[in-house]
Amino acid sequence: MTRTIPCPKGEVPTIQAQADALEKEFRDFSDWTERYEHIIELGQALDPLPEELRRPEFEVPGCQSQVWLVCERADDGRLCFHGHSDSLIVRGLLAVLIRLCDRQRPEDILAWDLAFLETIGLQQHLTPSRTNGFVAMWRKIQECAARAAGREP
Amino acid sequence: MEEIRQDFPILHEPTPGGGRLVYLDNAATSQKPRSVIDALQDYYETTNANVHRGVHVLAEKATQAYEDARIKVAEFIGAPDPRSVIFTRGTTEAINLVAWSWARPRLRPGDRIVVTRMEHHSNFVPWQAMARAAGAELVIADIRDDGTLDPDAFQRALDGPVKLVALAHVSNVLGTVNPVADLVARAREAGAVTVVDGAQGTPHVPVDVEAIGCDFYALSGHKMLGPTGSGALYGRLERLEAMEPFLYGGEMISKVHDDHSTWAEIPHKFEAGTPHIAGAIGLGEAVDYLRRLGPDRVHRWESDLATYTAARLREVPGVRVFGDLPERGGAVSFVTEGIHPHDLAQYLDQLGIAIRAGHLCAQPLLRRLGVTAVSRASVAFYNTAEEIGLLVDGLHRARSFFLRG
Repeated sequence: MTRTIPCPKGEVPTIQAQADALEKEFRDFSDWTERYEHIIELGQALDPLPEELRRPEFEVPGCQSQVWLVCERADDGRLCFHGHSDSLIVRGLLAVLIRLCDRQRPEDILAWDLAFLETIGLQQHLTPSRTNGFVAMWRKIQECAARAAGREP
Repeated sequence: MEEIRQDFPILHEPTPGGGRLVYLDNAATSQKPRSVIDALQDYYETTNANVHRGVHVLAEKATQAYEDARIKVAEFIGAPDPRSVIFTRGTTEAINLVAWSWARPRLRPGDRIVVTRMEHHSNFVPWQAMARAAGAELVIADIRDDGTLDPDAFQRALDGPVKLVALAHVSNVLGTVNPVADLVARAREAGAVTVVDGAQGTPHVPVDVEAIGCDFYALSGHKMLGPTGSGALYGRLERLEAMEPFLYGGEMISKVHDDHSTWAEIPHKFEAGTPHIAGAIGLGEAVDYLRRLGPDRVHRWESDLATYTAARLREVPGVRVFGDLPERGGAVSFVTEGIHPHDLAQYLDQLGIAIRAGHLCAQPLLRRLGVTAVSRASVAFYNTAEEIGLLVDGLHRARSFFLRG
């Protein structure tokens, strides 16, 4: 089977461990400019999503900026995510989600609760009224996990 | 000016960052003066009752206040008869009312509907849907590069079996003030019924529906200092008389037999169910406020401030302002090289500056402009040149934040 994006199998730190690491990174920032700077850096560190994958079927609906998210399943059942947004902030937020969920088991993703974002000062992005699509990106990741786990999303 | 700003409580609310609010998203919704807020509270404290049916004192008082509001709105837009004003939820519902009640039963295959390239989705999608359902053709009259409607393209669009022309009074993206009286006259000459989307018209430019000569004029209450969920449709009496109802239910009937019903007189025929009574009364109060200021004065201030905004933004390196216009209805849209409009809006929000980013519900126009998203600053009469200075400072700061390295 050919994959849309590379998705090797293998162990990675748990979601909790990734979340703890993120929390540590964000802990020392004293104001919003530093937090935003770091979010943008995380986004810029994402592997670029090839242009040919920036197509409607991978688009995340409900975002003001254009966001694409591709998900694949490795041979060991873990999920790989690859995405892009033309907004730097949204790309950074996407990078946070990908860091948490990349190469995790579907059931672990489904069991995860985004409430921890409060500890890194990103809770404002969790309200449904935020048009940056953070919630929409998370939903897309969860849908993919639900499908992989054999459940209806 | 400080006196006017004192009328708007929200302008003095601290932002989450602790600074002052610079509200430049007026094309999305205007802020509300104290008098409108008080009118809503006063209505619920002293008047609340259902309209048109009770015989008790409150019901009569509520009905009187509701119908007085109708008269105020009619006078504000130059409608000779208050019966030609139907209260709606806003512009969208007003346009849909015309689409479903006037256009849907009258459109035939091969008929043509003309819109312009600068329509808001709410004056585009209903016509697209009606055209598709009837097998009619939707023709889009293009704009020129300066952001004005191309009169030749408009004339060409009228050359055919055109049944209806729908156009914006003022563009919500470019701020263009269309010469609606002239355009409507040409559309009528071509035999078309005309619908003007006044969502950005009534808040920013003096409106006289008789002088415009249109068949329908749709307006939004919340964009002109009134409560959300308030709005109105003006329609020529003979058009409204000839139309079937839009929604069925209470309030809009005359007699209900087992097998058929007859309809109430206009405007009630189009106001099924309990209306947004408080909203209409609040809208009436908003109209009073605007009339005290004077719509001509409001337009001059806003057009001058928006023109100033466009000029100041153009001084910032990498900024492209859309539209090269002699007057503006409040909106100024732009893009900044290297910064996504969404990122800019989010950055400015942290500084307490509220602007809009995205497709602004005008995707057909944005395609023409060659972008998928824009930033928009839109002013109201209570904004100041000093606030535009803060916006420009914020933009410089955003550039050094996003564009370094």
